[in-house]
Amino acid sequence: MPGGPMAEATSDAPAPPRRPFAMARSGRLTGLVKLLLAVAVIVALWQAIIFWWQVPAFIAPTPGAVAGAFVSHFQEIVSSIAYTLRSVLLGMGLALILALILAGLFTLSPLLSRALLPLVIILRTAPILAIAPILILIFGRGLTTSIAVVVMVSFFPIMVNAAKGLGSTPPNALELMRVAGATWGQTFHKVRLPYALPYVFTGIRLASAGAVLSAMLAEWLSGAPGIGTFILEASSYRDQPRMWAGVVTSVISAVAFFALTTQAERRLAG
Amino acid sequence: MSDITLSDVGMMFDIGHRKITALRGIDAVLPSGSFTALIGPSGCGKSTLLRLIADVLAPTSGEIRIGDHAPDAARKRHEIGFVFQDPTLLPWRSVVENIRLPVEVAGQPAARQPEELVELVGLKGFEQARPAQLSGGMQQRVAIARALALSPKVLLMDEPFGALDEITRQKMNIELLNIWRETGTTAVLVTHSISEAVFMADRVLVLSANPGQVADRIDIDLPRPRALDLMQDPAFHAHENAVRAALFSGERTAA
Ligand SMILES: Nc1ncnc2c1ncn2[C@@H]1O[C@H](COP(=O)(O)OP(=O)(O)OP(=O)(O)O)[C@@H](O)[C@H]1O
Ligand SMILES: [Mg+2]
Repeated sequence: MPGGPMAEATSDAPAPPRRPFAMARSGRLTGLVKLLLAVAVIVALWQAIIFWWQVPAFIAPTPGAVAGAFVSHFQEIVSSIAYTLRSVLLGMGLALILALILAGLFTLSPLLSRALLPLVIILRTAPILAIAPILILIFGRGLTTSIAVVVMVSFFPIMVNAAKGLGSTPPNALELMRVAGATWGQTFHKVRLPYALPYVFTGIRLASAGAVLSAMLAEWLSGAPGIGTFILEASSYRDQPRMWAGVVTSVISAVAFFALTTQAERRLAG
Repeated sequence: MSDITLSDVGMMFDIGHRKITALRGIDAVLPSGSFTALIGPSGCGKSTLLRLIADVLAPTSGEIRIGDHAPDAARKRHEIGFVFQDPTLLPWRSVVENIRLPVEVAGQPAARQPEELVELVGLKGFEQARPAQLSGGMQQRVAIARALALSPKVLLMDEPFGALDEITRQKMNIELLNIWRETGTTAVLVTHSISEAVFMADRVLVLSANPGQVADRIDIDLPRPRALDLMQDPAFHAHENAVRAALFSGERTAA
C-alpha cells in the first residue's frame, strides 16, 4: 500500500508535466540574446551595404534615417500598429470561435462535414484580392473589413487542425462519457476539446504566421488607418525612411505575434 | 428494481469483409442486488456483453432490460457504474478530479465524497497526482473509485483487479463486497481468476468462445459476509472445481 507522501508522487514523477522554471527562464534569456544579436547583424549589414555600394537614399535609407523617422512619427506608428494588431487579434479570435463551431459540428455528423468541407475549401482558395472588394462593399472601409480578411485567412488552418484534434479523441474516453450518461455538450467540453487542444494551438500558430500580413493587405485595399496604410502613404510620398520605419514595425510585430502563439502552443499544449 | 434480463442476446460485428459472431443466444436473469461473475477464455465476448448491458453497443439480436426499461434509460439516468478493462483516466485531471467526473456529468450530489473513495481504494496522499504519475494498478483503483462515486444501481467491472498484486487484490475484493452489500447494487464482474469469481459472486456464468455462449451457470451458495478464510473451506474448493470443469469442458467442445 502506498505510504508515500504526496511530495514523492509529484516531484519524482516520470511524466514531464512542465519544464522546470529555471530552465525555461534561462532558455528565454539566451533566446533574447540571440534575437538582439540577429538584429545587430542585420542593422550592421544594412549599413555596410549602403556604404559599400553607395545606395542612393531614394532606394534604401540608412538605419539611422529610419530610426529618425521612427522617432518623429512615433505617435502615428503606434496608433497604426495598434489598429492593425486589433484587427489581427479580433480576426483570429473570431476565426477560432467559428473554426471550433464548425469542427464541432463535423464531429456531430460526418455527412455534414462531407457537404460543407468543399465549400470551405473554395472560400479558402479564392484569392483575397478578388473577394476584398465584396467585403468592403458589405463591411465598409473600417476595422470590420480587416477583421473579415483575417478571419478568412486564419479560419482554414485552425478549422482543419481542430477537426483533426476533435476527431482524435481516444474511443475509450468517449465510451466513458457515454456510460456516464453525458450529453453531447458535456462530452465536447470535458473530453473532446481538451484532447484537441494541442491540435487547436498548432492551427493558431500556423494561422498567426500570415495574420498580420493579411490585415495589412486588407488595409491596402480599404484604406483603413493601420500600419499597412501608413506604409502605403509613405511610399506614395517617396518618403523612404518613413516607409521603412513602418515596414520594420510591421515585421517585428508579425514575428512577435508568431513567437507569442508558438510559446502559447508549447506551454498550454506541449 | 434493477435486475438485468438478457433474452436471447446476440452480437455480430461487421469487420468489412466478414462478420464475427461475438455472442449468440445469451439468456440470463441477474436479480436486483445480486453479484454475478463472468469467466471465459480471452475473446469470448465478456467485454462485449458488459458494453451491451451499459448501452455502449446495441445488440444485433435479442433484448436487454434493466428493471422495466431498456438499458439506455438507466444510462441516461446515470445509474450505471463501469470499470473498463483499461483505466481510461483523463490525463489532465488529478485523481480526485477523475473520480468526480461522473458526479459533474450527472449534476447530482456525490453519493460518496471523492476524498473518501480515494481512501477506500488505498490511495490516500495521491489525491492531487496525475494519472501519468501512478502505476497501472493505482490507475485501475482510481477507475474503481470513479465507478462508485454515484452509488450506481448497476456496477459493471471488466477485470478491474487484473493489474493488482495478490494482497491488494484481496483487500480490494473485500472492500468491494462491503460496498456492494451497503448499496445493494447489481454487480457484474468479469475475471480470469476462478477463485476470485467464486469468492465474490452469487453465481458464475461460464462463457465459451466462438461464438460466445453461456456454457454453464454455477450458483455459489456460500454464506455471506465472506472473509478470506473462506478460501480454505472444502465447499469453496468444490465450487472452484465446478467452475474449472465447466471452463474446460467449454474449451473442449469448442476445439
Ligand atoms: N468493436 C469491435 N469491432 C469488431 N469486433 C469486435 C469489436 N469488439 C469486440 N470484437 C470482437 O468480439 C469478440 C469478443 O471480444 P471481447 O473484447 O468481448 O472479448 P473478451 O472476452 O472481453 O476478451 P478478453 O478476455 O481478452 O478481454 C472478439 O472476437 C473481438 O474481435
Ligand atoms: Mg475483455
